[in-house]
Amino acid sequence: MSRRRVGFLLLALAALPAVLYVARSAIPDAPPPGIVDPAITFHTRTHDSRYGGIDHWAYYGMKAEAVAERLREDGYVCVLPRSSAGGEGPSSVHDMVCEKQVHWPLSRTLSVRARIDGMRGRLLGASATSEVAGGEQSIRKRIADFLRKRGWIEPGQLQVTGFEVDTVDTLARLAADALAPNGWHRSCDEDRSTPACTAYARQRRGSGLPPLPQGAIAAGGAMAIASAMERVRLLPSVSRTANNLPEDSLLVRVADQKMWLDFVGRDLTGHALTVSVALDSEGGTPVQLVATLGTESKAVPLAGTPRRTNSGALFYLVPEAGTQHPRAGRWLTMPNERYPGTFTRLAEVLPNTDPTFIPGMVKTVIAHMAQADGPEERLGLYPALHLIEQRANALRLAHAELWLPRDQGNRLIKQAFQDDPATRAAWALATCESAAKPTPVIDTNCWLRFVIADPDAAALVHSEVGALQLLYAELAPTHPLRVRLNRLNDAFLRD
Amino acid sequence: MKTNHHLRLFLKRFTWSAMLMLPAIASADARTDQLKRCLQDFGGIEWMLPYQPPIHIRSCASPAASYDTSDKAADGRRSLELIGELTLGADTDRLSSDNAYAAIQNATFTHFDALFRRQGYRRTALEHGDARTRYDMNTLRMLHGMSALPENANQGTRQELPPIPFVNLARYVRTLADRDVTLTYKADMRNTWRITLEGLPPGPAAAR
Repeated sequence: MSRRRVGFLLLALAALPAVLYVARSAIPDAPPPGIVDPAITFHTRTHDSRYGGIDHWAYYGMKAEAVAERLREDGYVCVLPRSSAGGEGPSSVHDMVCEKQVHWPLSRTLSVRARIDGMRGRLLGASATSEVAGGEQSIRKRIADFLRKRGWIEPGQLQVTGFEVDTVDTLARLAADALAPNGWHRSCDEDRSTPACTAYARQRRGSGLPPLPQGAIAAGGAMAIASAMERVRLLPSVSRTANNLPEDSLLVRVADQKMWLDFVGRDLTGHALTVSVALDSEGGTPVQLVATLGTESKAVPLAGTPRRTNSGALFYLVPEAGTQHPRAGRWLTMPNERYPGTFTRLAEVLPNTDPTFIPGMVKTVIAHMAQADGPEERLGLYPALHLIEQRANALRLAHAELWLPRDQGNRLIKQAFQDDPATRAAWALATCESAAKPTPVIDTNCWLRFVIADPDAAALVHSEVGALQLLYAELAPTHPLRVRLNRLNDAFLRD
Repeated sequence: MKTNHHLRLFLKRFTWSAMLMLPAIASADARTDQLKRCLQDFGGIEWMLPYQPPIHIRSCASPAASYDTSDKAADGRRSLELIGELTLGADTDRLSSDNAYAAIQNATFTHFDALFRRQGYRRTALEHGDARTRYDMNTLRMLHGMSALPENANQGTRQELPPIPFVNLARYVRTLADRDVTLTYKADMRNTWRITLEGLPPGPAAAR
């Protein structure tokens, strides 16, 4: 061979890596098969790639069929799982064994043994082995050991760990990333081939799960939490069974006057993972995430999205009363006279709500019904009795007697409106004065109980009535305002 | 039904509130600020709206501020327009419409009369209207279902009933910074009232 030809050959060999590199870069990146989230690739980058790359893509709870399919793509032959815990049955654990014969550089048998949950058909753990024919002292075994020591063939044994969640910080990052409204799971789970997702995948492959940011993390709404957690294989701690609950109700844990959604999971190394999301009553808004791994916990504030109706009104989430776990969390909207069903629903749900949540809801409902629509109210241009009667009328319109029985209401109103004697007085007026025709009637016993139980609010009404009686004293005795004010004043005189 | 009556009132109030808000493109807080600035420019009057009937401020105009109107008042002049519901509550239902109307007007005047006198205004004039509805001949015929009324028939019965008086205009005066300030209270239409001030010193008036 001439020197020129040798030179050309050497140049070609030297250029080959560069050509291959350019060609490689020109091919659009795609996540490796079997890995849904390319961020996982980063966290398993140091794992062994042999045995079909199982240590990159396997995860706890993976479907046995999916494990078998991935391994088949790499030339493995998988046999039906056989019980290793004795006997058939839903609680048994099966082994699925997948084998492959390789001949280069040494003939050997690669085996992957996957432990499968017999009931659900899901992966619980996996290991892999590589065996050569002949005994321990055979030449083939010695060659194999030599090759393994240099990493030229697969290790003799491999305990599959997959993506290991070994710190509470990793777990918090995993969960926060799953909740992100515009994150990978929401934007690219369905179609990863778009240019944006391809770039996103490259970024995640290069840096893994994003770190936890400072401050509250953006999250979706309560109704999206379960599906978000499911994408990272965290499932509700209590499965939902068939019941009469509304479809949109949530199963919540009530603790420390908060509602929690709990999710559990594992990794292949046996770490038990728990993620809990706290929901605020207003909008069912996710407000906190707590990741727990072993004895360690990490709390992360969330800036969730409140649930709203199509018209933009807020929903409210309240847990049912009781001590059972979990409990149903039901959604309420504010009563609206255009939709009478909202009153009925309030009447059905509120009396059966956890007592610690009722005062807040009552306050919200009354504030909603009595909200100051106009600048006149905001500037305090009306006498107090005008506002008291306005709120009382709003309570009657809201059919408060349906969702807040009188005795219960008296206690709750006093508790929820400790600094608002006008609203307390409005409640008393709404419950003690009937809207009878032609003349409303005040139940004097009811009014007496109010005067005794709430002297401050009663004094407010009494002083207002007295001042207005003076103002309108020159009107005819039959004037509606004098009749009205006399009736109110008489209620105090009968005490 | 009482509930339907209050529902109508509630919806009417809501409707009026919504209508008042229609011209405004600013936020609710901005409107409140506008109203506050305008009301503060009325020679120190500490405004309060009546207990009943339910009355809202339809517009307010001063040289320096305006609320729900594009007009600014000329120097020395202020204008406040009010609009309300024709009810004084459940006890109004016992009255005829004419008597109810008079009761509403008299209640409104009683409130503002006391307000102005508390602020140092002295009443100088009072005019009354008649709340009794008096029909013309054609209307009488229609009401009586007669094609023609005899000349000397009882068509005049209603016309001979005594008036149901109410105050539809009052004037007040007060001396402010050596100037006579005139305040006029007027029942404009059936459910609107206008309060105007004339002769205020130029520029924002000092608080009383």
